[in-house]
Amino acid sequence: MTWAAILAGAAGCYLLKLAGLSVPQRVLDRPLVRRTADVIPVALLAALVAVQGWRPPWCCSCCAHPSSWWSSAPRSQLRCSGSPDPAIRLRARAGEAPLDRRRIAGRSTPAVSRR
Amino acid sequence: VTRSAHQRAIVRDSLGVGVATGLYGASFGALAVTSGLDVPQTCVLSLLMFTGASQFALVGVVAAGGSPLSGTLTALLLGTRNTLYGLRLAPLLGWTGVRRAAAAHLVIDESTAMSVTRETREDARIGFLTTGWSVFVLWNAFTLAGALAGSAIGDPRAYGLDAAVGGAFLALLWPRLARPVQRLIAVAAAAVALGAVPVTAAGVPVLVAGGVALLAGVLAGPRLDPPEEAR
Repeated sequence: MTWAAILAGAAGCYLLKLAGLSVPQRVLDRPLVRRTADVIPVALLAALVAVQGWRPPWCCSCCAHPSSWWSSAPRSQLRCSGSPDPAIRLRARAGEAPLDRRRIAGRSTPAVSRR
Repeated sequence: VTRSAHQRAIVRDSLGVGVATGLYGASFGALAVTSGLDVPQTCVLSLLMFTGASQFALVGVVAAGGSPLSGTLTALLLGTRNTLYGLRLAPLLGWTGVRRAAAAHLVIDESTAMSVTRETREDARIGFLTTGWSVFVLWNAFTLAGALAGSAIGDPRAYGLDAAVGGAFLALLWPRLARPVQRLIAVAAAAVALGAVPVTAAGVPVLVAGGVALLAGVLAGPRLDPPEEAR
């Protein structure tokens, strides 16, 4: 069953990619399609930059990433050796490993997989 | 700047993004095996599905005890953004037949990002192929490494590479913000994507940002057209 899901998913994802590359020129020439296609690079790049996070070199993504600002994790649990916040640095120095705020919040999807 | 130096710069930037992205294959490999997939299943996903967010989504559903079929559907939903990329890539890359069929496999966030902003077809192809191939080779190599080593390899974010990728994308975005309507779309896409990050699975934020592009195409209409033909 897992193999079936993997192979069906892989075939479907490939066909979705191929479908996009195979859209005929006369469809691409329609004003709505053309305008949408023109806007895609700006929307794609802006979204990628945003979700990649804009991390200053002195800080890890657990505190610098904007998406963590409204995370439900209590601030008193954060610990990160690279944080600009002394209290957070102190907890990290107390011997605990750096911890991602999203992981504290109990999210099962690892934050590295945002792309 | 000479032509060849310009193209070398595209290759260099593309390889940088390719290396930084490919290393995340280790995260995927480790996560997949800890989620209950075996090593061949993990490697086949990276080889044949080859679109990171969809792979993570399928593995995530399996790990959460969901039915493999719903994992497949989630993966397909996320895969629809690659279709959207094709609208812009198809006329730009200009491949047909077997080449188009082969190129389709390399259509992912990164290869699209490193090619859609290029001025010429040649530059777009260089950016697309260099990024696509380097991500493909490294993503698969590190998937295998991560699957074999489990979580021992650790989190690639520790090396700070995600910041390098963000920098490369920002450098490509910047020149495209000349007009107010473009800046508005960029801000809206970024805001929508960020808003989706805490409440959705990987890949959904970029997908909903694609929805912003669609919406902009409908709402802004002719205002989106460049003042003079830029290409």
